[in-house]
Amino acid sequence: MRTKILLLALTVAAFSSCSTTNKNTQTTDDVYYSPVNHIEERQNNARENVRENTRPDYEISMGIYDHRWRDFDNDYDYNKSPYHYCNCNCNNYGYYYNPSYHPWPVYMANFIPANSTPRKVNLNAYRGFHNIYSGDPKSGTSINWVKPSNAYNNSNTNHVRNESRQIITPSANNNNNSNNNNTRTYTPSSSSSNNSGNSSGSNNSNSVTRPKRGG
Amino acid sequence: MKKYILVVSLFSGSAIYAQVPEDALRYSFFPQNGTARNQAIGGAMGSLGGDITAPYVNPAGLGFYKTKEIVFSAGFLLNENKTTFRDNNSIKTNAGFTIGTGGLIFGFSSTKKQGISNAISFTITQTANFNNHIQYKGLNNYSSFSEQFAEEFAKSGYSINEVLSTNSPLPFSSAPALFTYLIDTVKINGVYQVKAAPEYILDAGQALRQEMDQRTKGGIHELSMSFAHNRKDKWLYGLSISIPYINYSNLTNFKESDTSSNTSNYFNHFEYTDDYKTTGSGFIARLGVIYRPVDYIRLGLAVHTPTWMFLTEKRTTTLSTQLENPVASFNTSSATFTNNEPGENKYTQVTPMKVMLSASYVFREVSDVKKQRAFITADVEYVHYKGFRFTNDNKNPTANDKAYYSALNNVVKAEYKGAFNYRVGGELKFNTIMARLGFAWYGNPYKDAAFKASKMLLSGGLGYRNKGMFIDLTYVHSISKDVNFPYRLADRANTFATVKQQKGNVMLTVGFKF
Repeated sequence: MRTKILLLALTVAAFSSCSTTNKNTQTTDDVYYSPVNHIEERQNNARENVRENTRPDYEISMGIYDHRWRDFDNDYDYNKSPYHYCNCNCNNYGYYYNPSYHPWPVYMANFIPANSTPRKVNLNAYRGFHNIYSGDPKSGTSINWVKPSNAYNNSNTNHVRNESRQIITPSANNNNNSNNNNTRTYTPSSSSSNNSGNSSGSNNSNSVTRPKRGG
Repeated sequence: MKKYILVVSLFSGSAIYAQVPEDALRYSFFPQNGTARNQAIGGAMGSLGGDITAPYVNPAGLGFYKTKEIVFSAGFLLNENKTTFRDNNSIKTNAGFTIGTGGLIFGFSSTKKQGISNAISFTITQTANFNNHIQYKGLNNYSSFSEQFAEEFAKSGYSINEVLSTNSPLPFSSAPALFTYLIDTVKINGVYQVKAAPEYILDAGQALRQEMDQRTKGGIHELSMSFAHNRKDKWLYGLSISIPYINYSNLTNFKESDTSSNTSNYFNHFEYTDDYKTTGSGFIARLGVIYRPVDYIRLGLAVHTPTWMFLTEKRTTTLSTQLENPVASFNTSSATFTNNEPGENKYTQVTPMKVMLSASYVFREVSDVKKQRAFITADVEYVHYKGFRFTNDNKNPTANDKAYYSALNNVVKAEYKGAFNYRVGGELKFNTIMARLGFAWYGNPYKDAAFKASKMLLSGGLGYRNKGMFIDLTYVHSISKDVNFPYRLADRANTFATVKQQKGNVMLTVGFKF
């Protein structure tokens, strides 16, 4: 931060010492009125003319030092490509044009892709959400959630925790879904489920083993 | 692919798909930033012009320039957040530096056509500052933070073994919760159910102590190139193309603990941290026109296209749980479930478009600086918050992720609405000294009437212009209201904190004519 402030101060100091054009006058305020500066415009035009008149000379002088400048105007002559260094009648494209040429060995690393799970929230918790969101990501089966009937619980007075969670009710038109209830039943879709409350992970090679719970 | 998405969204009203709905407001519900002069007049710049802020509001205002200038702006802000969570009040303050609008402007007049001039600018600004710190705590006898994990896992259809893997489908939430036994399966009436350990406290009619601490840093910076054309000071047209860069980091820490003296009720406390960083860039275009029907009066119209942002988010969560009966402590990190690397998610977000109408009255638009007297100006802006969209940019998104993003956009549409913003300000000029006042109001973007959200800005400033330079100093006091949900549950009533933020911002701008 100190460096930034110092840099800013130096820049400001530099400009305050260089703005000699307006130093002895009041500062133009472009919100109210911005004066036309024709002189500047004419100077620019004059500079442009000088640049155009001298351009061929500039190319000639550059061409003395680098042959590619001499070939710039001839766009259709293949042999005069600015990248073509072959002065004789050769068909060698050189390694620039060989797509399979590698000057050194290439080793492929064992790449493990990053886990790309989005930062999620249960979208059914939003009151204004009326639509159906797929509740079972494995099977893709949709669960018909009904939004909370009301309200937010923002104080501790007179609230009895209701284990049946009556603030939402299952949809009548989706009774065949096993997840269609308002309990948190453990019903994994796969056959490899582990229903044990004291489970310690699976034996798969990429599984993570839970520590033992006992104290 | 990105090009395809952009073209489709441009012509079909942003038909593309992020993350969580609150992200939509973070990247769109913030006040106009600018130079100290612009901030002092409430940020109004839709028709006034003649200030380097114009490219970010109405680029046609750049057309008033027939001179050249270089501008620097920087500021300091102080936040104070007063939160109320379950009838308990907390206060947290933080401070930081900010930058305003700066850059170069080149105005030049045509020698061939009388009254015609053009201007170009190269500018940079900070459009949003995310430097903030929110903290609240309270007792809760109704729900637990951990229930969101129980709910997610129960409805996911995954088995414990599938979730507890090195490349887990639920690596930041349910996997750490299962690993540390914050949630587990228990047999109730012969049926296995997913239960969170703190629920035992709540079921016994006792309360949990909940503590939330959220620190955010970073901002959105925009690099812009603009062009404006002035036809006889009657019609002015402008276009700006900007490249915004987002750098946002969030560190949330949530603690929950047993308030009872019972040492055998299965739960003592847990602490969960969510650390993520979002970076990326994109582009936005702004178009505008200003019409001067008669001297002194300026009318402006500006349209801001949606901002297309291509973002990458890196995330790590940690969870520490202490249980009772038997006493045991467990710690883990989400990296265990994401191949020992932070999770990395790529997505595109499209912020809503804006339309702005504006009018100004400028007293004495004369060349003699000593006779220039004052101006008043006002903007009305409409922001289509429900138009915010997200889409997944990962190489091989799962069907569930695709469904999530699609549903997310539906939630954004359902939760938010379009809102009007108002900005008004004026200046009095006394030869080389100027005094300014401003006011701005940013309307509520939430559809739900229970959420009171708004931003009100009161500003005042002084300016000095002489000898080819100018310097402006401004103080902006903003009062914002918003809500903050520590967690969301689908099968219970939710709880949230109300946040009242008071922010003081001192801005300094220095400029030179050359």
